[in-house]
Amino acid sequence: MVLSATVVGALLGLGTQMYSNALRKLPYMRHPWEHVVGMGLGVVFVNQLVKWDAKLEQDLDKMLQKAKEANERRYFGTLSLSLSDCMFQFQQFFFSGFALSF
Amino acid sequence: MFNLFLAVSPEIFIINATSILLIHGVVFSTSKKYDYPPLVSNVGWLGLLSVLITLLLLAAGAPLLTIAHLFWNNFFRRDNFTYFCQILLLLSTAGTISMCFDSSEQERFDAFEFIVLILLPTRSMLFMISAHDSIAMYLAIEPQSLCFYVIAASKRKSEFSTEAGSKYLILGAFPSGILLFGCSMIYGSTGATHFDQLAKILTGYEGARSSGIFMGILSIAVGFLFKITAVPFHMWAPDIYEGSPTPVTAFLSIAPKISISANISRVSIYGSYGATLQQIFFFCSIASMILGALAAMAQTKVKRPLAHSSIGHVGYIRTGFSCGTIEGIQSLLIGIFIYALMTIDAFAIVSALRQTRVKYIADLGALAKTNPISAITFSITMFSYAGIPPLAGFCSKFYLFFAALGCGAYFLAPVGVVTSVIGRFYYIRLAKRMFFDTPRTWILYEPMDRNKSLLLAMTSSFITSSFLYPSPLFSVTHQMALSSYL
Repeated sequence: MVLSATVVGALLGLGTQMYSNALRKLPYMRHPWEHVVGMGLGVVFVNQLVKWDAKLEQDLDKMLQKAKEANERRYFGTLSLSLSDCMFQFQQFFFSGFALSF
Repeated sequence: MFNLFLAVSPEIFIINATSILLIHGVVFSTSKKYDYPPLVSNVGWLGLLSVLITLLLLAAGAPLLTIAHLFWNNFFRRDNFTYFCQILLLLSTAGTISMCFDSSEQERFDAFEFIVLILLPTRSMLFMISAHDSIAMYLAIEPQSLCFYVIAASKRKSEFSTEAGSKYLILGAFPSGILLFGCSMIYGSTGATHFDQLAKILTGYEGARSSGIFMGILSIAVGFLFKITAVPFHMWAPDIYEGSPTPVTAFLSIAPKISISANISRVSIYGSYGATLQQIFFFCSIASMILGALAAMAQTKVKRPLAHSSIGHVGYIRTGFSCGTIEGIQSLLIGIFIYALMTIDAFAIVSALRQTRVKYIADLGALAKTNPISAITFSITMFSYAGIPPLAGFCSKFYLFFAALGCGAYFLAPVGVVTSVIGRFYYIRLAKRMFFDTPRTWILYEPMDRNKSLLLAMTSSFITSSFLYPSPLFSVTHQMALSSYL
C-alpha cells in the first residue's frame, strides 16, 4: 500500500512538473531538479492523503455510530421502557393471582 | 480543551498581515529614495505567504474541532464544516493571487492595493463562514461586499472596469439592505438573532402564519441569492465579470460563493428551514440552470460565457442545498470544491490568453496549432464544466442530482440533466474554435509564467485524475455535513 502510494505520488509529481513545462512551451525535462522536488512533494502528498483517508473513515464511522445510538435512545428507549413496565405489571398480576388461588 | 486564541489565530494573523502589507506598500511606494517602486509583485508574494501561513494556522487548530464550539458571546461557531469551508476559501485566494503576478506586469497594472483588497474580504469571509448569529453574519458580509465593489473598479484607466465597479456598488447596496431588513423582521417577530434560538422558534413553522417571519425569511433569501448570482438576481454578473480585471473576476466567481453558501447553510438549514425556503431555492435552482445553459450560447467574448456558466453552476450547487438533507449538504460541498478548482483553472488560462489580446471567442482560433497544450488544458476544463465523465465536473453533477432524487425532487434532477446537455453546446464550441477553426488574425501567443503554469498543472491533474481516488473528498464532505447537524 505504501509502495503503490509512493509510486503514484512520484508519478503525479513528475507528471505535474512536466505538464507545467509543456504549458510554458519548454522542453519537458528543463530544470530536472524541479522534477525531483515535484516527485518528492507528490510522494509526501499522496502518502499523507492515504493516511488521512483512513483516519477520516474511522472518524466518520464513530460519528455515524454515535448518531445511531442517540436516535435509538430517543425513539426506542421509550418503547423498551413501556415494554418493561408491561412485563412488570403482568408479573404482578400473575403472582398475585397465583397466590390468591392458594 | 478549546483554546480560543488558537481557534481565531488565522483571522487575527490575516488582519495583522493585511494592515502591515498596507503600511509597507504605502511607505515604500511613495518613497523618493527607492524611486517610487510599483510593489505589486512584492506585496503579491507577501500576500500569498500570508494566506499560506493563515492556512497553516487553520490546520494547527484543526484537532480542536472534533466537536463544535461557540465563542464570543456565541456569535461564532467552529466545527468541521467551518474548517473545510475556510480551507477551501484560503486555497482559492492563494490561487487567485498566483494569477495576478504576470497579468499585472503585462497590463501595466501597478496598484499594490489590489492585493490588500483581496486579503481584506478574505478576512471577512473567514468570519462569515463561522458566523452563527444574524448580526455577526451581516457584520461579516458588509466589509466583504465593500472590498468587492472597489476591486471590481481597480483598473482605473479602463472604463469597463470603472463601469463594473459603479454597477456593482449600486446593485450590491440593495441586497445588503434587503438582507438587513430580513434580519430585522425576524428579530422583530421572534426576538432572536442567534441561529440556535431561531432553530428552536422556527421548527415546525409552516407557511405564512406570521407575515413578519415570512417577509424576513424571504428577504434574507433574496439578499443571499443576489450575492451568489442566482437567477432572477443574476443580471449584474455578466457585465461586472466582463469589465473587471481577470484575476478579480476569478476571485468574484469563487470566493463569495464558498462563504455565502456556507453561511446560508447555517441560516437556512440549521436556523429556519421549511417549505417556504425550499420552494424559493428550488425555483432559483431550476431558473439558474436553465438560464446558465441558454444565455451563454449567444455570447461572443471569452469571459461572458464563463460568467453565465458560473450562474448555471450556482443553480447546480443550489440543487444540493435545496434538498435540506445530509446528502444535499454533502453534494453542495463536493460541488463547491470541484467548481472552485475548475474555475481557477479556467480563469488562469483566460488570464494567460488575455496577455496576447485574446478577448473574443473567435480569437481562440488555431490555439491548438500555436499552443496545443494550452488548448488541451482549456478543453479539459470546458469538458469538466460540461459534466463529461470521467472528469471531476461529472462527479459533482452526478452526486448533486443523486442527492436531489434522494430527497424526492424528481423534477429538479431531470431539469439539471437536460440543461447540462444543452450547456455542452457552448463548452464544446470553444473546443471546436481552438481545434478546427482558423482565426481572423493570427495571434502570437506568449509563454505563460511559472506561477500560472504550476497552478494550471495542479488543477488540471486534479480534474483529470480525481475519479481514480474520490474517497477522501467524499469522506471529508460527509463528515462536514454531519458536523453541521450533530
